[in-house]
Amino acid sequence: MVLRIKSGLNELFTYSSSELTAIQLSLKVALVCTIIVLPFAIFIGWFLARKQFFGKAFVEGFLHLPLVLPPVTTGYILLIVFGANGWLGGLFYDWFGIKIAFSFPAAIIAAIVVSFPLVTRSIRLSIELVDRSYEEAARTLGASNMRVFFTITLPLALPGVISGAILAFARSLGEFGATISFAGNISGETQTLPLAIFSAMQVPGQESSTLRLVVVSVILSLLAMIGAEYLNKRILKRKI
Amino acid sequence: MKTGIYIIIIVFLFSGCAHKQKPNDNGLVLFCAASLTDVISEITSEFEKENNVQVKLNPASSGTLARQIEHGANPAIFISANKKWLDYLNKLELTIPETEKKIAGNSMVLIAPVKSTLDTFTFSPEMILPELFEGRLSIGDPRHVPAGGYAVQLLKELGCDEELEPRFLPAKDVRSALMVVELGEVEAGIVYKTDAMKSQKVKIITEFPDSLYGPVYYYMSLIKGNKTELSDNLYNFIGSEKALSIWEKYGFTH
Repeated sequence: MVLRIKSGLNELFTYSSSELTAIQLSLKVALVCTIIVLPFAIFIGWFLARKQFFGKAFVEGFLHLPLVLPPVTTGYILLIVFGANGWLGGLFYDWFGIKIAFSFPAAIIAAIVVSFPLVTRSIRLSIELVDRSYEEAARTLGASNMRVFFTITLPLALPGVISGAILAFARSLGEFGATISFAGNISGETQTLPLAIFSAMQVPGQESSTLRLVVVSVILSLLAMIGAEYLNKRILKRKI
Repeated sequence: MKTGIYIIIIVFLFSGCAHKQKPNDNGLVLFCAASLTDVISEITSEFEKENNVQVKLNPASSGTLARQIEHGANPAIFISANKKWLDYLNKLELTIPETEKKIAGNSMVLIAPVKSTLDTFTFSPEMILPELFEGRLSIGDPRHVPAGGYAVQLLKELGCDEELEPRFLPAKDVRSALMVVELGEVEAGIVYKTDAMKSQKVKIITEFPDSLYGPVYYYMSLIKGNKTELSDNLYNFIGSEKALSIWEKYGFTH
């Protein structure tokens, strides 16, 4: 009996190569996206936290748009902008002969666009909480703006940066709507975990495949969240 | 107190799982293959006018719809773009088999964006499809989109399915496959003739003979639990002489 359940479970949790590809691809997209998005988010987050300028509310609203737009809308806009006939994608195609949409870079772009506001927000809030008197003190001691930023502001805002990075990772791991409209559902190139789950869900009789992928999806997201908590706690302890 | 609220929430969430299938009392629901979106909307709006009722449509890939019905969706009528997904529901005893009816026919074509340099030609079995265009080929996801299944079938007959497989761009339904070609993201796609005809942004490069994929037929059936006089009327109306001219207008054969 136990043996039978065991072999049944084994069968249920034997991952096919296309399922493994989807899992791998998801991690790759999430990782590449996080690495690319972080420097931009740190800069923009700092800029929004420390600078006042005309039209700031508008810029903020615009940057946060992907957070509230339906992801399919984001995907469609990306398709219009980066598509072979889009104004940016068209230029790209004319100059380099490369089509961006429906390719691996498109999956990365979609992930970046949807996770960018999340990271920026997190980083910006933590920079806003950094006591400016420390920065001023460093400046009166002769530190350059650059040095103040890298030795005072950034280290003090680190918890926000790290939780932002993990948010970006988790968000791009789960990105679906923009990806399927802009990058398509190509196995091994743009079919990430959520898309593989969606595809398996469309096919009658694919319940076990769906379940296998769902299990991985839950575990990965959970790990990311636990990791974020752990890192946050460690940083808080270090500060005390 | 808090635990009580959680228990209520959990009971509430799970109560959905136990619900029994009840006849639909919120009007007529019709599930149809994505390629029928326009023709069925026109036919049902005629029916709505005559009978003063509302028909709710749910167009998607036939595989998706079959799966939705399997998991408890309860339309009055289901129209599939192949026999496979109707048979699948038949086996699960969800349809009323006596009502299964071949309702219309279609054919498969190779399409390209209007601006493409590809010229229209008559089909010949000697054509080398993989060399005709560069990049990806837009088709419906063959695992659940019938149009994708027919496309793979005809490529297999032409002996180039394995060569082209890595170049497939699978879409969630045939209309999405059409959209990708309309946007100029790929140089070619295989869709139904009726889809290609309705689009101003694509042109038909060649029409495949139906011997390559076995003719495309749409099958209509009533779904168990929802048979009413009204659903019978709609069922008959879709196959009526009056509806025939609408089917023909959109390029479907019968």
